Amino acid sequence: MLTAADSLGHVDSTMPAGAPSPTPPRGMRSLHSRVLAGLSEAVVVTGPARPGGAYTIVHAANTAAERLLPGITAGLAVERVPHDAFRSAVAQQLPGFEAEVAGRVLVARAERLDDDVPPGADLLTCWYLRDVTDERRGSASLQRAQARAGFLAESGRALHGVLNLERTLRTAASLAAGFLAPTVLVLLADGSDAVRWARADAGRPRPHAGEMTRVELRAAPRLHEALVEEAPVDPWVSLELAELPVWNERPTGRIVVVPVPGTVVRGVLVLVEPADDEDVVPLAEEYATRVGTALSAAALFREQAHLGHVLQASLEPPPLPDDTRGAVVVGSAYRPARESLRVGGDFYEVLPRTAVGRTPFLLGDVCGKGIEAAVLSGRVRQSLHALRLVEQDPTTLLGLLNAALLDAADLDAAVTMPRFATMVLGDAEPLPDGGLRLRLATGGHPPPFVVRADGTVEEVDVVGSLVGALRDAEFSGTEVLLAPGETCLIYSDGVTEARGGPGGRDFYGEERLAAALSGCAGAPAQVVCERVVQLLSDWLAGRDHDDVALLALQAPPRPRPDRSRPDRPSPRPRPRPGHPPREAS
Amino acid sequence: MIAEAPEFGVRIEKEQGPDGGSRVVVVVSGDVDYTHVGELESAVDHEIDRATGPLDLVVDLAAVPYCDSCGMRVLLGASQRVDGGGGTFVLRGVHGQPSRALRLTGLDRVLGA
Repeated sequence: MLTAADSLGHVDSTMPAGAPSPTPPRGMRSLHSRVLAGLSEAVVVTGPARPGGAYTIVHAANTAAERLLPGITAGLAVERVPHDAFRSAVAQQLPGFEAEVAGRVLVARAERLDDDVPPGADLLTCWYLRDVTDERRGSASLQRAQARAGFLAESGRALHGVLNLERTLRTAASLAAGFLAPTVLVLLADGSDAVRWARADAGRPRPHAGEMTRVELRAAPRLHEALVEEAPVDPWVSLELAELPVWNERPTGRIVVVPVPGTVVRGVLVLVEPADDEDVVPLAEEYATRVGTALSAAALFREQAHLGHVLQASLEPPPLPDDTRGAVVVGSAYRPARESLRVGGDFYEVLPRTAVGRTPFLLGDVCGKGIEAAVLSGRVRQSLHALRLVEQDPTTLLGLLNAALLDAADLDAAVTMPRFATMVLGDAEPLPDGGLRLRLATGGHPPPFVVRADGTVEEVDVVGSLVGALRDAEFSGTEVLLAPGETCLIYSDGVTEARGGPGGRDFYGEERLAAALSGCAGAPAQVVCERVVQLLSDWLAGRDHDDVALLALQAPPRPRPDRSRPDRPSPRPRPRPGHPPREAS
Repeated sequence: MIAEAPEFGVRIEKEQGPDGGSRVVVVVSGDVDYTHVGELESAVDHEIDRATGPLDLVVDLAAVPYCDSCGMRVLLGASQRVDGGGGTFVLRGVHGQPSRALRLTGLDRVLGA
């Protein structure tokens, strides 16, 4: 068993086993009180006043204990100790207690000195008390710091995923409402004529958002300055803010205004009645920096997305003319490479019939990808549009275009690498017999195929250098006559260079394309294009490919008098066993 | 069986030219396409940049099964720079798709293939 004396390291052989020793021998008492007095930890020993008694007294209390529990002293009856928490903990034999005494937070732990004590024996209890006031304060401020860091980290994540200006603004207000202040307003100037705002009120599900014109901001000149100039936030701004038509209830309490810095946009973060805490402003400034970065990113993204959209729209093949007055049947297909961020390099167009009755067309491919390719294909098309006003012969046009592109490149200081395009261009002229005469010229482009009525497939015999790279480029032209129903297919090298097949690495190639076309004899121009795309997609079996562009020009088929529905040609190409040999290659 | 695309690589070698002078050979292997053309471009540019006099440059395409328009552009750009510096530019080992593409574009006569 352990007694009060034992617990101090002495064995008192005079004590009967199991009996508490409220009054150790005199010398012993002075020893253990001296040992206790030297401890920095507060220790109180309680137990029955005499063996078997119900009356509990304080057997010992050291100096540290007397400091923490003023009034406690050895020999005092526990019921007279002037501390409720202590009294009830002793009475209920609690394992410990926590109490606030004279502004200090105490934590006490009870240790029953009961080793080897027979059941029912009276026990001493040793109470170890600790002052945790500073510790708690430290951990509370740590918790606050962690909450702030968590808030900033979380808001950083939430804000940066958005990339939409309006939504970023609303998110910026919502995230801060309830944390920085009950009501948070964010105002944003993005260089446009309007100032956007979003307000969130803690406890309300949705933020409110709106726009104010500059005229409306005339009533708030200092705010206007802070928003559009690098002016620091004037203390009067909060007065102006209260008058703006952005509130649910006009704020009457304290308003804190923090600038939202940004490279592209500027704004202010407005906190209505924030907690009266010295940390609020630095935290709000830190938050405003994140908001500013996110808003600038969203603004930049908006610009870029707009640019990309305009670019993409300008590069997409224009719709083919609806009305070629029955002179030419056209079909087309365009499958840009899968990498969506790379604007493609293939382009084609069919222009309205000219005054002399010819329908100009073009299919080309510029080297490179992205913006550079977009600029070049735009230049090619616009140059051609202008050149066509004075020249219609395809071969001469290519020569002029080549010179124009080289001249433009010479003027362009940014060009260090050659830029060029390959293309097939020409025009189509209806013939009195219902056929079509095509004038064609190529610049470095795969020659087109002609699908004859009997399924014969010919490669058009025409060659020429690529366009825009060489001063001494040579271009040649040719004429192709199409009988009614016959088709000329112009394609980009994305078709023949599509890699796939059983081994996955074989080019689709001219042979397979010719074979596919021979099965399309007599099919409408659009069906021919779709059939080729379909076969190509089988060949690719989901693999990546380069841009694929197809343009089919067809002499209108002769109506068949013996058919009940003469205007509806067969929608499927006639399958053919094998394919006839090509006439030219 | 699906064949793996051969790994792209550019190797620089030196060899004796027919006139006894030393020439730089850029040995390319694999597809010269949008993904890899940058590697070829920087290797070729590096050789041109560090040449102190007229450079005799050979680009060996014997192990190149495919060259797209970006690749042609780098080859054309290199040949123009080398010619401008009074050197010579020669393509070697061209076959298959690159050979057909060079013929189609008329670059075969310019690039000395």
